[in-house]
Amino acid sequence: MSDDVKVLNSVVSLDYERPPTRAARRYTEAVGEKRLIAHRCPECERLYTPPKGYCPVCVVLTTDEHEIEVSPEGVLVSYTVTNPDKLHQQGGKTSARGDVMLDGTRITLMGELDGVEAADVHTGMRMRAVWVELEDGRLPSSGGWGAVGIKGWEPTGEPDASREEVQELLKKAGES
Amino acid sequence: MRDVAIVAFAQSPLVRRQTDFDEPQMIMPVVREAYEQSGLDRSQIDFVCSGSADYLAGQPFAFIRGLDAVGAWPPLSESHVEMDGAWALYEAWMMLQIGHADTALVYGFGKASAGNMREVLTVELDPYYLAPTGIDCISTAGLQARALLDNSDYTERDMAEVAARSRRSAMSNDHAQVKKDVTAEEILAEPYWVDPLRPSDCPPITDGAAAVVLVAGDRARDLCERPAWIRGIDNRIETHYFGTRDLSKSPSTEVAGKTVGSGDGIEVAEISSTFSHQELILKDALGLQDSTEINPSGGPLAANPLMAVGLIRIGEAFNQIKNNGKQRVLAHATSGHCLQQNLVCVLEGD
Amino acid sequence: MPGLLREAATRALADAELEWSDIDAVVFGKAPDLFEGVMRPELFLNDAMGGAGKPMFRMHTAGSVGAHTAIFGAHLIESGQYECVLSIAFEKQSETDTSRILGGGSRGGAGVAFASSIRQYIEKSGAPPHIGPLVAVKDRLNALKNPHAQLKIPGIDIKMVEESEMVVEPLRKLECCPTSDGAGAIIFTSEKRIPKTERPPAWLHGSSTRSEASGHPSRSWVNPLAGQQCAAEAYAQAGITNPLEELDCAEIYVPFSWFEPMWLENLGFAEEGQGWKMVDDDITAFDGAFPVNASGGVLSANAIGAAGLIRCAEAAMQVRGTAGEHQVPDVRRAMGHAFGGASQYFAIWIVGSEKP
Ligand SMILES: [Zn+2]
Repeated sequence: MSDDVKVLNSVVSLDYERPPTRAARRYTEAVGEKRLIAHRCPECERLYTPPKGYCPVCVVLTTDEHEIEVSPEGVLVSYTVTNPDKLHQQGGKTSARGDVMLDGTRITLMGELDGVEAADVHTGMRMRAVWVELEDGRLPSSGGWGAVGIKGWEPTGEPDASREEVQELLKKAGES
Repeated sequence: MRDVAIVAFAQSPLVRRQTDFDEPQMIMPVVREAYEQSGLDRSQIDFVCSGSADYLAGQPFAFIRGLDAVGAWPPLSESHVEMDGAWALYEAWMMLQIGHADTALVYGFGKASAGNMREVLTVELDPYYLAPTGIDCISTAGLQARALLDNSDYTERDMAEVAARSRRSAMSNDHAQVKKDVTAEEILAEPYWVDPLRPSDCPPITDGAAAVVLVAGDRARDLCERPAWIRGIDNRIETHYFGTRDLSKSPSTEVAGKTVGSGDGIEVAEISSTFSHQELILKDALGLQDSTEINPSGGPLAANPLMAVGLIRIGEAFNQIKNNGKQRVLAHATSGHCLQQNLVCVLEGD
Repeated sequence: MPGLLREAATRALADAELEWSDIDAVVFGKAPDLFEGVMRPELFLNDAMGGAGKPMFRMHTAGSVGAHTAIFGAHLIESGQYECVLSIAFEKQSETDTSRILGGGSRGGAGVAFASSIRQYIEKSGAPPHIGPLVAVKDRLNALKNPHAQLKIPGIDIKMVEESEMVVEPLRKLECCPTSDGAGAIIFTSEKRIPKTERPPAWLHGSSTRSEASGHPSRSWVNPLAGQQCAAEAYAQAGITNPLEELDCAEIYVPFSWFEPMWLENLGFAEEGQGWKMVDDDITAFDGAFPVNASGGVLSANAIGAAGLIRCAEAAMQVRGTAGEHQVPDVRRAMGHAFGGASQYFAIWIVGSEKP
């Protein structure tokens, strides 16, 4: 034996192609027009955006007829500041990410927080969506934990929701 | 052993590429149909178990979306196996055996169309010694077919007969993907694909899902006119390495079959013979008589939705009891290359 | 990979003074196959687990899979169909870049998703910021007593945790679990086949699994209903009405420090919003009234697929009196717990020193 083998480098590369569902295609088209659409479940009236094409609570499929437009603005109900370099990952800059509960819904969408210093982020801030620019009519591939088509959230500049209002929102979200 | 029966079975259309629906959308109608058939609603199901594989979807935790399809709210007593749904059925059956549940929903699903299965299934081999050779699942099946032809009296014609009969049987199966009025001669006229396998000796690539409802005790008779009682279910695995196995035989199937009484008076057998030659191996390992009808549904050669195909065999066997008046039937599921792991289940009518 | 499993299984067999040939069936668990880049690796690892010729099952229920693997092994015995079962689980995260597989590049990985629910917990409960670091210190001090723990940080204190770098706000590096390689194995036997060793067996008093869909908008990550129900069922089976009184210690899946107070509430050891006070009052410390993660827990080693099984095994070691230096005195009943997915899969067992 000359040198000990320490590592066997074996790169597995597999390509997958997953065609978007009809609901995903229509959602993408709407994002291209800077609109946010959701499906309303015909049984429980819960809202889903991006629409899934079904309600997981009622076990029913939903289609175009259940489509409605929802506000791309809401209240920051939680956030975190990430430091991706320290997670051995690519990228690098310190960034804040947060959960925004859309107005009139119980939906929270996660996204990067834009237009605000990480140190100034606080719950209760009013935020609006920062849209992803389509490339040739298609959404650039995202992957990960954020909402498709929304790059992140920026402050609207409106007055904050109070601590009580945020807790009320969280409580409402936790019900049923 | 507690008496446990299958009372409902549903399957999705089995197709080459399901473009309209993603996995939850594909599973959901199947689950609804199974609930409806059983007459039970979600709140009456005590345990849910599913089978699928992350590598089919190419995503970690891909199975979690299955929860969306079964109405996992409020929460369910639930489990998942990274195996065919037939093993999920085993786990559910076990929950009923020990009395932790009286009813169970089992489902399996796979969208093989998302990836290139010949490449993906290579990743199922030993990563140190086998996968780096790049051998794919058709070639490993070819090795096995060659071993069978060289070590038995079976011929390529026997394989072609299996392939032709499966496609003809599929003509009366609404869910089947490949159905064709074809003869063994026509198949023998095909050029080899991976010698000694011809294209018709090999299964299609299929997207699909299936679901089964299990019920313990007399209640099964209230819910289904002819429930199928699980009289025995066992599974066995063999070593992984081709070089240390006699590929022309399936000892793990034989042991599992003996445990559940596979040779005895089986009228119909629905088996996971993914390639034509595997039916010949399995028939011998199970000790099936010539009078036993094999794969009247067409079997995996007519539709092969990975991770659901074994559960579908159990469901089709149940249908033989429920709809065709059969009394004693057998179902078989397999896992891994060259029949490495096998599950055998015997069902009986009242 | 085969070596990891072989080592764990061999040690379990030695502990039970049993042979490979005594095993009737094997239950195998691990988290996503993509972590090692092998699809359904049990097919090739089967030889290392002595599975050939035997029934074999492969579980995958995300991070809770180790506990599922243990529970299903016990079910096989309970059914009367098997006399001796090996439940075995592993993860070898060093085979690939797991945070990349989980997080998809630069978006921050699992910590981001969980950090957000931690923030919610802090906002809702009004817990002071030192609670997380307190848990981190406690578990790492416990780990010093556990020869199998991966992270050993002698002299760790609150200050050291608070000065470690911020990874995912509000989590500092020393409040996060490491990435780990490891395996765990448990052997179950029927009552009549209990091996005659000097080490008594642990008896299963109750077990439960619960899962909830991630896809609907009104679920809570902070106090998930599935976790509450899972605990309630396990308690009911074990005849427990006051878990804090009737259990002597617990091994709970705490991958990030703040999950300890969250899960203390979720599992009914504390009222909602009060879990952090148990931490603050040192009740969950090694010499506290209700030690949690005496082994050092997931914060000291997180071989994901194995971690839940190891929680269950550690609970069993406590009631068997075989935990060595991290043995809690006089443990009669203990809990093993794991969770997975987006805080949506739960598995719990309760073991005792006495036959139930
Ligand atoms: Zn609904």
